Amino acid sequence: MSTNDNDIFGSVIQKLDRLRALGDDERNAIRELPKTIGSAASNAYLVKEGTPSGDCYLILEGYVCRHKLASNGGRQIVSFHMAGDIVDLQHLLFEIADHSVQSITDVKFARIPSAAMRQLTKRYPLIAEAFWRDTLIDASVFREWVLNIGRRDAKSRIAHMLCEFAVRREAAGLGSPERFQLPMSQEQIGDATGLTSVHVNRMLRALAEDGVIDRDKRDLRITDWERLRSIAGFDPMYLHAVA
Amino acid sequence: MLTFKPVTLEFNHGDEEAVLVLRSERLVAIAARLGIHHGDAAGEWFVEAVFTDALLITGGRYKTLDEIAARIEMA
Repeated sequence: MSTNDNDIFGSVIQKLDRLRALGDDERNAIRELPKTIGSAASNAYLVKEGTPSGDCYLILEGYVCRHKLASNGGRQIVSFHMAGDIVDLQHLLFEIADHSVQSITDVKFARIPSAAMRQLTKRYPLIAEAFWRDTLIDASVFREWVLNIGRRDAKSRIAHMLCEFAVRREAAGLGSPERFQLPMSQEQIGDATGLTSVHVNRMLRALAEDGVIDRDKRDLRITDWERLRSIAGFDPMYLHAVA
Repeated sequence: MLTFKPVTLEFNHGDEEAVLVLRSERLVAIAARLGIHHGDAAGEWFVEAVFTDALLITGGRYKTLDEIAARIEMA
């Protein structure tokens, strides 16, 4: 998917509209937001934990993750994000980043001043409600991920991550949920599921041997969605049908 | 002194070759040799589990068993 200047906010308007039906006034106000378009290679920090941030980042192309680092250097990825996601709505109200946002592929993004976003929410309550719903769904995803790494076995964790990624990717209009390229490395999957890359490799192989996925390096096909969902214990309710 | 006792893990997807790391008949750790499907890491020893204060090396990869023994003794 590529974006052009006339359609910079197309994906986020579509997403916010699913969260809370917007009118033409709201859509136009979003389109008129001041923004700076930027790009970054993979592994670049868009937001760094502990630093001030006066902007919000809207992802236009590519994939990023949110993560936190332990004092021993271990990284815990707490969510993946894609086109149409505003990855740091908390910076409307908080000045210091409490976690980092890092690209996992080449990315294109729009940087929007937080002050302009705050003004937008004051003038347009429907947009404020959509942002609120978006952050509540983020929190719901975090809760699901705590359950995933805390109480599911290794194969279920990987299966759950694949289910969520496929469903969110389809909702974002990025294509089929059954066949896609995984943007994240096995090490990044490990950091998202609390596993080593060795275990990730083993579990992906186990899922392939179970006949629920077929993969060639990062090209992945879900060959038995119902069985993958069952292994994962995946119930998309926590995504509230719109993420 | 640590010793290594060869065992076979009940995996059905490679990585079966393994050792029990023992100190005087007491189990200290389990390490498995990574198979060819692990790409560049194939042939390395992967620490599956540790039962001492050296817990942090769990999940680590080492070129030799002596490296694992040295890390366990350092803890």
